[in-house]
Amino acid sequence: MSIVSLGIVRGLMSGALGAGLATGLTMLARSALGAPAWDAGQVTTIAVFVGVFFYLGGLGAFNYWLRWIAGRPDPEHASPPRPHWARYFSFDTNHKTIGVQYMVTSLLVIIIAGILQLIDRLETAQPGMQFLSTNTYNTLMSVHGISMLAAVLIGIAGMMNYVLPLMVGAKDMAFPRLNALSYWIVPPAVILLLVSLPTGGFDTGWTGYPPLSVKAPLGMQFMILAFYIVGWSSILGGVNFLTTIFKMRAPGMSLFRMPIFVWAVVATSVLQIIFTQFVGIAFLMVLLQRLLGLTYFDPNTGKVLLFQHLFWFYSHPAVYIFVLPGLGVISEVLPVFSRKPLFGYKAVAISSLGIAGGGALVWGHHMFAAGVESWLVVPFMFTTSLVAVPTGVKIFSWLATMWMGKIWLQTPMLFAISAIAVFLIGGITGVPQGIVPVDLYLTDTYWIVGHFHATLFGGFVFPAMAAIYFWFPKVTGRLMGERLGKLHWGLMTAGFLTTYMPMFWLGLNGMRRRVADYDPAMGLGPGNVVVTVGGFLIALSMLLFFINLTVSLRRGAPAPANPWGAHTLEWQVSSPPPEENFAAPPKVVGPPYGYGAPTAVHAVLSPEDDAGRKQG
Amino acid sequence: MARKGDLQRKLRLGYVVFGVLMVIEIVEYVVGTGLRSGNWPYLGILAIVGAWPILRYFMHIQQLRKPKE
Amino acid sequence: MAIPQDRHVEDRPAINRLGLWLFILSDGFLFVVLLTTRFYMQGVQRPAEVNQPLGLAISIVLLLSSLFAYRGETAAAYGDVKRFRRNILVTIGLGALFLAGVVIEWAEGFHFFPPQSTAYGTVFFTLTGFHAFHVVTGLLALVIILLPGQQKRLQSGNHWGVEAMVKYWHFVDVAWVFIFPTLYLVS
Ligand code: HEM
Ligand SMILES: [Cu+2]
Repeated sequence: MSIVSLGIVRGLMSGALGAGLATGLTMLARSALGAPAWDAGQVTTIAVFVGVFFYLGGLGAFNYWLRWIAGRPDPEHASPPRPHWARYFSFDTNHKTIGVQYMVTSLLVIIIAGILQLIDRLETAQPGMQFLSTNTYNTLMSVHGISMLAAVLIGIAGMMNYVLPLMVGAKDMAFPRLNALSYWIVPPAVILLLVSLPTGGFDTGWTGYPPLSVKAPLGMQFMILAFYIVGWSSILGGVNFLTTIFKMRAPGMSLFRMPIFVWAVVATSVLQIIFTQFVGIAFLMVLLQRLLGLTYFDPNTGKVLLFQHLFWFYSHPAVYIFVLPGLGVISEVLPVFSRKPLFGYKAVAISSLGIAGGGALVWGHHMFAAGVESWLVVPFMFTTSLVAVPTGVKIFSWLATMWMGKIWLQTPMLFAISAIAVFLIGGITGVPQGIVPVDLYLTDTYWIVGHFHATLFGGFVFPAMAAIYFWFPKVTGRLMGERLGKLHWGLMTAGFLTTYMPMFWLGLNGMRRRVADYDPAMGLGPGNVVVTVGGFLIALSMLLFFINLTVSLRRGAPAPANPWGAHTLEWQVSSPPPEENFAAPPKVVGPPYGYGAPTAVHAVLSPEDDAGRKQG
Repeated sequence: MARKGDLQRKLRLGYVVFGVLMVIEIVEYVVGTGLRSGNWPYLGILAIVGAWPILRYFMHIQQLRKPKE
Repeated sequence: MAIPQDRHVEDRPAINRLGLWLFILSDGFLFVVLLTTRFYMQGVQRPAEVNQPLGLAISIVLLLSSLFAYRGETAAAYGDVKRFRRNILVTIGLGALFLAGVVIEWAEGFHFFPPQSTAYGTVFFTLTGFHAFHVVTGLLALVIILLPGQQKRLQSGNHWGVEAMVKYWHFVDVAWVFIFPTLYLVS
C-alpha cells in the first residue's frame, strides 16, 4: 500500500492546502476592504479553522455524514484496512482503536511537554541566568503546563474509550463516528501547541490571564485555538460516554452493579459537558479582544476578573475531570490484587458524584489574592474545606479494601498504592491553601506547584501507569515485563518524591513559581538542585517504561484472557477482544467485585455459561 | 402509520402553544418597556415560563423518560 | 463469514435522542456563560438607543418559525412528506428574515454602542453574534433535511434526521427567549 492512502497523511496534506487557501483568500478580502493584507492574528486564526476542516475532510471524517446526507447507506463500521497497523492512522470507528490512539497521543505529548520542563529545570537549578532568556523560560514553562493538561485530557479519554464499552457490555460506544471525530481533532491541537513555540511563545503560564494574554505574542493565539479544539473533543467525548452508559448497558447491569470506573466516567463526563463551555468562552473572549478589539477585559470598559471567574469555574472542576478516571482505576485495581470486594462500594460510587458537585462551588479559592469582593472570600474558604470530604471517603475505602486482603504485589498494584499515597499528599497540602490567611502567603510559590503535581501524579500519572500495566495484556494479547515494570515503579516513585517534596520546603521559604531566576542569598540553591535531579529521575523511569512497552509489545509472553483473575466484563472476553467485543449481549448477574467468594460471578457471556452456573 | 385525525389534532396543538408564547412575549414586552427599573425578576420568570412550552411541546423533552409519547 | 449486524438489541431512537439532548445541554451552557457575562459586566444597564420594537419583531418571527418547524416535524412523523416540505420551507424563510433583522440591528449597534469602546456593545455583539451563528448552522441543518436524498428515508418511516434538526432549531429559539429580555428589556 502507498503511504498516501493512509488517512492521516491525506488529512495533513489537505489541511495544509486548506490553510494555504484560507490565508490567500483572507488576505485578498482584507485588501479588497482597504485594510493592509497581512494581519497575523486574523489571517492565521481563519487559516487554522479552515485548515482543520480541510484536514478532517481529507481524513475521511465527513464521509459517513455525507453519505447520510445523500441518503445512501451509512454503516457505522467500515471493514478495517490492511495491514492491521494502518487502522491506527485512519478514521477508524472502533472504540478499541480509538482508545489506543488517544493513549499513544497522550504519551507522545507527555514526552514533549516533559522535555520542555527539563530544559527549564536545568536553568533554575542554580540562581542567576545560565543559558535561557527569561522569555524562553516563561514560554517553555507555559507550553509545558498547557500541554500536560491537554495530555491528561487525552489520556483519560484513552482509558475511558478502551475500557468503558467493554465494562458495560456494549459492542461499541453509542456514537462511533462522533467518537472517531473527537479523537481526530486532537492531533491538529497538538500541532498548534507546538506551533506556538516558534511563533513567539507566550509568557502567561497555563492560565493565560488577561490583560497579559491580550498582549502576548502570536504564540498565545495558537495556544488558545489548541485548547479550544481539545475542549470540544472533551465535550463530544462526554456526550458519547454518558449516552453509552445510560443506554447501552448489558441486561442486568443495574446502576449499582456498574464497576466504579464507570461511575467515575459518569461524573467526569457530566463535568466535561457542562464546564468546558466556560473555559472555551473565556479563551474565545481573549481571542476576540485580540483580533477585533472587543473590550471584555479592558480595565476601563470591561472587567479584568471576568476571565478568572470563568476560567476557574471550569478549571477547578477540571482538576476533577483529570483525576476522577484515575481514581476509578485505583478502585478497579485494588480489589483484584487484594482479592477482596471494594469496601463501601455505594459510598465510593456516590462520592464521585459528590466530588463533581462540590467541585463546582469552590473556584474562588484560586482568586483569594486577586482582589475579588471580600464577601466572596469566606464562603469559598468554607466550601473548599468541604470538598476534601468525598475525596477522604475514597481514601478510606481503599485502605479498608487492602486491609487484611491477600495482597498480590504486581506492577499495577504497586502503582495503585503509590497513587494513593501521593494523592493523599496532594489533598492534604491543598487544605491549608484553602485557608485564606495561609494562602495569601503560599499563593504563587513552589508550594502550589508541589500541591498540584502531587494531586495530578496521584490522580492521573500513577493511575494511568497502573491502568497501562493492568490492561496491556487485554489490549495487546501479551504480558508486560514485570521486572522492568517494578523497576519503573520504584524509580518513578523515588523520582516523584525527590522532585516534589523539596518544593514544599522551597515554597515555604519564598521560592516564587514561574520565575527563571532567584536571589542566591535566599539559600534556595541546594533545594532547587534536588528538584532538578528528581525531574531527571522521573524522565529516566519513563525511559524504562517505554523500553518495557516496546519490548513487551514485540516479545512479551502471550496473555490469557484473564491473567489477573478479575471479575469485570472486559476480562471475560479474549485478549485482545474480538472486533465487536461480545458475541451476544452478556448477562450481568452479580456485583462487580465479588472477590474472595469462590462462587461469585459478575456476568455470564453465553446461555450455556448460565446453565452451567445454575447447575454447579 | 398513525391516523390522519391524530395529525390534525397535533397541528392544532401547535397553534395553541404558539398563541401562549405570543401572549407571554407581549406581556414581557409590556413589562420591559413599561417598568423602567427593577424589572429583571419579572422578566426572568417570564423567560422561564416562555421557554417551558417550547421544551415540552415543540422539543418533546418528556420523551427522555417516556419514549412513546 | 459475514458479521451479523446489530446483534445487540439497542434502541437507536432513544440513544440518538439522549445524545442530542446532552449536546443541547452543553451548548445551552454556552449561552448561560454569555448571559451571565452580560450581568457581570454591565449589571442591568442598557443604552436608550436599543431598538426595542425591532427586537420584539424578530422575536416573533423566530417564534413563528418554531411553529412551522413543529408542523413540519409532526407532518414528517405521520409520513406527510408534502406538508413537511412546505412547512420547513416557511421555517427557513422566517429564519432568513430573522437574520435580516439582526443585520439591521448590527448596523444600528455599530453606530450607537460600538463593541470596541462600550461594554454594552461588547456583550450585545457577542450574544447576538453567537446566536446568529447558531441560526446559520440551524438553517443549514434545515436545508439538509430538504435535500432529495432525505426523502427516501422519510418515506421508509425513519424521520430521525428531521427530528434532530428541528430540535436544534427549537433550541436556538429557546436561547433567544432568554437573550431577548436580557439585551432589550432589562433595566
Ligand atoms: C483532586 C485533586 C486536586 C487537583 C488535581 C488539584 C489541582 C490544583 C491545581 C492545578 C492548582 C494550581 C492552579 C494554578 O496554576 O494556580 C491548585 C491550586 C489549589 N488547590 Fe488544588 N487540586 C486538588 C485538590 C485540592 C484539594 C482537596 C484542595 C483543598 C481542600 C485544594 C485546594 C487548592 C487551593 C486552595 C489552590 C489555590 C492555591 C493558590 O493558587 O494560592 N486542591 N490545585
Ligand atoms: Cu481548585
